[in-house]
Amino acid sequence: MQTIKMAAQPVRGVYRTLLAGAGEDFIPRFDILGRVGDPRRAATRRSLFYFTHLSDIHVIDAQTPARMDAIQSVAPDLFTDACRPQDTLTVHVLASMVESITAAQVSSVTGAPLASALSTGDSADNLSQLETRWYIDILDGGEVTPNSGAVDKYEGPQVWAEATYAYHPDDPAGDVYGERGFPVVPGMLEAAVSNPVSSQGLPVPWYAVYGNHDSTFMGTFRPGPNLYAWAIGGRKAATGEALSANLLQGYASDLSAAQMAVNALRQRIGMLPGLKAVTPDPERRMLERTEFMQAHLESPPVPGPVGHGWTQENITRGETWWSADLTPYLRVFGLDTCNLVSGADGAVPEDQFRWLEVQLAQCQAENRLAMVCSHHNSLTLENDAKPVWGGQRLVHAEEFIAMLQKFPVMVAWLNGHTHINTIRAHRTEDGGGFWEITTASCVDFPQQQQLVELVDNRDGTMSIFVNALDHSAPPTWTEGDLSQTGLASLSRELAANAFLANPTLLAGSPLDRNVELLLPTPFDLQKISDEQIEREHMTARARLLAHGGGS
Amino acid sequence: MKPLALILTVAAGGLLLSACSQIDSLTPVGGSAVTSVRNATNDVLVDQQVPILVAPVCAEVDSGFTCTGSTTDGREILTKADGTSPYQLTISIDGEVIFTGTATEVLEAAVLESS
Repeated sequence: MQTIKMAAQPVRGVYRTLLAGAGEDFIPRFDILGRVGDPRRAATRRSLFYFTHLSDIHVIDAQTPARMDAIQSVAPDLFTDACRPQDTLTVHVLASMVESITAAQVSSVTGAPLASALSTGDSADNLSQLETRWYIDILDGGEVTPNSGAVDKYEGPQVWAEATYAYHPDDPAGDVYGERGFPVVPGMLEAAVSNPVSSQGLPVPWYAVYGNHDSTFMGTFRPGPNLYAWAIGGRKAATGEALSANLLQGYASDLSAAQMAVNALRQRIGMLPGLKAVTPDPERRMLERTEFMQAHLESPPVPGPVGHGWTQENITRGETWWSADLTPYLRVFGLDTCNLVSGADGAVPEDQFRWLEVQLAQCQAENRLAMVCSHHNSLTLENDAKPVWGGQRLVHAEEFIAMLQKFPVMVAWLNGHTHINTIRAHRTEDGGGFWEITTASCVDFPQQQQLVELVDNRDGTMSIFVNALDHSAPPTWTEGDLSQTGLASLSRELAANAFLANPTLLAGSPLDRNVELLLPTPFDLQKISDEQIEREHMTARARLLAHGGGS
Repeated sequence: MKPLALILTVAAGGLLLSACSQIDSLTPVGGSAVTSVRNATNDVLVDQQVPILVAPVCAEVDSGFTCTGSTTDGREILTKADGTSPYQLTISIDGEVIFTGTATEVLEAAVLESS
């Protein structure tokens, strides 16, 4: 697989273009095994399951009044994701990622067919109904015009002169990005919001979990009536002053019913400096908690499954977590680790913790391999914010990892959140353990996701191959290319130069990208027969053929 | 009220809903400091073709971070990262220093074409 590098020499200021680098081989990691693996395993291994791991897709409706773009004028380091240069191009990137996944439908390691996709949250950016629908439609397959408000016209900080914190592609000379050599790209915004983006859809069933951006305002704050009203209204803050005097002040006082009425009036008649008129759009409404799950149930049966992990029972019971059998010998658990009170980071609520413990014990008893999906990872599972009325205990990383380690069948914990390719070993004292696999995002550089394959080495060990996957748009953007693919390519280049996001950190190290992660088999894997595996592979191949490709 | 002051007020308002008043919970996303040190260490080890058995695991200490791991022939990998970002790194194997420099330099070099 190719890697993408930044050009050694900036083209303007500190702005660098991108180019294709040399591919990276798989690096074996023995952290859990505790000894070097037998090199003969390459000749004996068989594939158990090949899938793709997505996370932090962050489809963005950049024009919604409910975004805090202007916070970057006063506190750029507090919310580095409030107004990215590439915000209008997220649907284009996701469609390119779908293309890339489709092209990788046969494993480069074993030739096994791609069988599933697991998405670990932050699929939408800001609770938006539109963002949620767009991301689902791109993954299911279809056409999306990523626009809201005025038809064929971008309305937002990227064209407002006073919004010097934002990148203005038509003329960046007066903004903080122009100072750093960002390019003049006439027509970028219009092309981004006017032209439909088409997607063939994922060729495999896909599953999703909640991320903090699917749960709270800006991934951090609990939403309230004032925010709901702002989202569908006709005023958007261009400056920090307007943001604080309107949207945030209303938010801070949402608890008072009288204040809510004042806020509503303020929205109708108020027009402070820095507050801009935009075309209101009821489609921009922010989703209530269970509506996010409901949106996933409004999906076609192919690629499926309808609900993408959630069922009607989840909605009825208000349970935002699920389990699914990817094959008869592999079960995956989708958790909701988001904190609805405050903060971007998360924890495992005790009810899910207890449920998962029972489920894993059952997998252990049945010799069934298991994986866990959550949005938050082990570095970001420490949020203890609870409502004043109490709430259940929140389990943090150390206790959660210790529980997972009790079950040798639990081989992988897939997650995201930090937008950094990171792979950690959680080894037990007796030489077992599991691998934690964190992927980069679709929105920030390097805009990579992962291909993952569970392999039986037939020597008492198994391997998990992880391959960092670039989206299909060319590494080097061709000046003036505003096609769907061109905009995805431009998005990656802008992201590589988006200094607030610390792009040099996000690709991870070579030990986090293309790797073979070894671990002892949790039981005699010969109990999974070749015939059983081949049957699963045949089903997967038939699905791929029906999608229009296949091996 | 100044915009930043109001933003912080809003943040505090969010905490009124919280019984724990955990200021850290308002940090947008955690873990970037330790990850900088860890990734830079790994970049150096792979670049110098060090045979790794256990990749270094980093922990916060008073002076910054310390990361420890081992090679396939049983030698100890040790990274000491002093100060704050950009973190001055000293990476050694069984006491022999193989790298000194900042984490930021390493991370930047790793993403450039010439690296």
